[in-house]
Amino acid sequence: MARATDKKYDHLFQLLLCGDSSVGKTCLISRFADNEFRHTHINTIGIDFKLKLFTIRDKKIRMQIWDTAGQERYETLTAQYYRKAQGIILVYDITREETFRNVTKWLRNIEDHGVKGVKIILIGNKVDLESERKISTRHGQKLANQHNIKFFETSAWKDINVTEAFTELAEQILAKVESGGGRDRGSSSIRESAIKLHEQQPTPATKSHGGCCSGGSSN
Amino acid sequence: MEKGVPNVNVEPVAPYPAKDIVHEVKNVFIYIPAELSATGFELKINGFVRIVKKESDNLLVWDPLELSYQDVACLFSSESDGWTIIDEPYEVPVIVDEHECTYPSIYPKLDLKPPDPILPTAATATSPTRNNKNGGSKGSPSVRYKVGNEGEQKVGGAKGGSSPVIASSKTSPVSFSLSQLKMVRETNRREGTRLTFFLKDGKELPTLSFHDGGTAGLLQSMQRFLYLVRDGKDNRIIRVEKNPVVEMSRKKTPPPSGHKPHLPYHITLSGRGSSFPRALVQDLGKIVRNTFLPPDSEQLLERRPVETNDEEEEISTITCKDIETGGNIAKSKPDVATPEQSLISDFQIVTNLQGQLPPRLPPRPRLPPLSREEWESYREIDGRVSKENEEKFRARVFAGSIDHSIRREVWKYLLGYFRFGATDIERMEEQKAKEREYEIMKKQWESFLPQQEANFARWRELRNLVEKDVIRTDRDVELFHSVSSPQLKQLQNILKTYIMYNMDLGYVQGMSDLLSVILAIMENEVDSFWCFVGLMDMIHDRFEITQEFMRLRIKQLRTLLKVSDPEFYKYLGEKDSNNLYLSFRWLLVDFKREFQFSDLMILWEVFWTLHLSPDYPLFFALAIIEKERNNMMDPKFDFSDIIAHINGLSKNLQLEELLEKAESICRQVGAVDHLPEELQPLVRQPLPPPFTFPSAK
Repeated sequence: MARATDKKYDHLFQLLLCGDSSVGKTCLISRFADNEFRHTHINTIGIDFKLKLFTIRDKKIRMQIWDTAGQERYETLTAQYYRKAQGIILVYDITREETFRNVTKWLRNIEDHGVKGVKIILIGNKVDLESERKISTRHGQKLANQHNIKFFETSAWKDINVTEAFTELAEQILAKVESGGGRDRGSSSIRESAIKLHEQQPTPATKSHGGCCSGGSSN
Repeated sequence: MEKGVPNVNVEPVAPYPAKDIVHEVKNVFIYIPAELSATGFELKINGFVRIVKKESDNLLVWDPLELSYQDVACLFSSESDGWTIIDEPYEVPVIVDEHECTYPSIYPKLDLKPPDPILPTAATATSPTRNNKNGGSKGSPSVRYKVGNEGEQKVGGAKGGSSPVIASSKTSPVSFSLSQLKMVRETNRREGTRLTFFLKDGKELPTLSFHDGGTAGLLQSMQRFLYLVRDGKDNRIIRVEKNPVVEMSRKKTPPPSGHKPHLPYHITLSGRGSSFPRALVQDLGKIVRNTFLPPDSEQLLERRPVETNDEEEEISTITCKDIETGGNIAKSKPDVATPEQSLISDFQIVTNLQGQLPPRLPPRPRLPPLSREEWESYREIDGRVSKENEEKFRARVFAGSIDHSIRREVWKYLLGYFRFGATDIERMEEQKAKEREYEIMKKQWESFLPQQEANFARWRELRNLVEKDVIRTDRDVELFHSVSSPQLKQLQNILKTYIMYNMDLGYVQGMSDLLSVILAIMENEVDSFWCFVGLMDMIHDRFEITQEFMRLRIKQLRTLLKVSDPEFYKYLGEKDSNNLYLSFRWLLVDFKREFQFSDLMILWEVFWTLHLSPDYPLFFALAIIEKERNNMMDPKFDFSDIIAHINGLSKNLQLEELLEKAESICRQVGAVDHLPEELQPLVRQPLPPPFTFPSAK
């Protein structure tokens, strides 16, 4: 069971994934946090959560990753978590047009419920299903450009670009926090700072290079 | 606290007649820890635990069932413990073979003649008292693990002239007086619950391990003589406290007639806060009384009313841990109430309730599942189940769930597919009609033309969602494992047909999780559909688009927690977690993701009885939270840790224990007379009594 007090970290970031049902949000998180992919998926009820500790530029980041149910029905619940997120990953499925069409709807949700200046990236998932592709890379990129957000095409199954996408988002948040412009829960809170001072236990993350996903998950 | 086998007194325990046995539990092992046993390793000896009623004193007795000579030698040869070796083989006191039985419900049936007076204690063949190293200096005459070896009487059968005297023959009873008990620690081990008794003089007695269960019943029996209160912070600890009501009434002389009885709480308030309006004080006192005191205390008070004056110094002696809270309430009162106000708002009642629920009864052990014979006994000859029997049936299922072999039939009733009041013939007809209706509705979506579908966005959206979700439902369960399994197809069919049946609700994520368990039992599409319809009739609110109901439930759970465990509630608040959203998944799909199928069936049957509460899952959630609170609070978990911990509980929960706990909590809350309005719909009041098997004729 996870114990914060066993871990040392410099920052605590809260991320949230949203997007239509069955676009692969949970799989992306599993790939990133636990480096695993299960073929027997399970749909997310309401809201789910994973922790991930990893390192960027010698900074240990503790990530709280919120996974949300895709069905509109649960928006009232998930909206509560938009407000807390410093970074949001919006996911669509490159093999299903309607999930792409709904990206604008999700962006509106973020605008409505998210904090101002929240960092967003767009992910087109399931590039392993190239033969079933309905949305071209160009289309995805164009939409991202329109909203001035970064874009990645990923495969949670084949482990393509997943770490890169999460790292990019974490980098953006870190840059913002370090420039003093963001709420960093890791240092803004007395509790968390106190934890920081007392924690010495090295984690696998400290051995990794380039701050990517080899950090120990605390789940 | 001293440990060990203290101050053993070798004078034998007087044998006790069977009629004095109030309660008995068998297969209780005594544990002599390695460091205290002469052999250097832990000893386990099987025996009975009995509560024996004496005129002046009630004893808790442990009687060994089987002791080999070796065991005895090991046990009693130690220099320090003062036990004595008994060098004769032991005979087993034969009483009854029931797993656990409460006396005297059985004994009178044996038609015993009045028991002989208790036999005088015979001198033992053992050496005289050797004081325990530790215990001796403390000089505690109360701790008496006695070793007896005397007389030749043993349990007489029911017949014959000999009186039924137990435990006199060659057995070695161990006992202590209940009046010396200070507290009990309850720990759960794989082999069974263990109880460790601590006496008032600080002694800790060897642990007793209940391999066949029965601790709850034992504690309940002890409750007859002792005022047991489970510790609010550490629920493994059960303390003996002074019964506030008895304490009060004992000290007082009857007041002049016509004098209204008062409670110490009144006195606290009126005594300290003289500026309070009388009416307000009375209301508050009533609420505190109703919420704090056990249900029967009212009558006790009425019989032996107490006076109000010169009570100040007695308040401290009243076993009311939270009397300070009462004081605080009193102090804060003028801020929120004007002198004229006599009504107290819900908020204030909640404040009053905090941590002051009536004492919690020890958990009742679960009963075995409802058997076919029992089920049949509830049905009339024509197949109907009367209203009265339906009630009994619900109580019975609540207490023990349903034997797997009859689930398929019984669930149809529980889920409202079959009417309890229908005869076999009526039911068969109704079932046929339901089959036809299902086929009609199924045909409707099956026969959509492509153009119709193209013009029907809502249908398309829901249908896609069903298809996406079904292939993600319980695929790790064998039944649904294969992509080509007919059950996956059936899940789809049922959910799509449900969209046609209830287009307003349609399909909502979470439904497939509920349906899969039903289908696993029914193994039939039509039956599963109608059972699912029945389930949705019960719980559709939680799937409604506004999610109002889910919000309300989480709020109710929050209030329940606030009332039952203010300390942990406060802790969660500090950790930004007291919104309890972490319980959303639990409450939406009734803990589906937290248990295996076999446990879920048991759990859901309990929920579906609606026996104690129309929303029993809330109490079950509270039981989990209560069980885990220390695991989260002790290591000072923060927000992330708390959620990670809660997530980690999935498939790691002990169902039976939690069910017992949930019932205790629910009964505790249900015993409160003036529940906050918000909580009132959550419990049936008055609560139905616990189910008991009708005594055999």
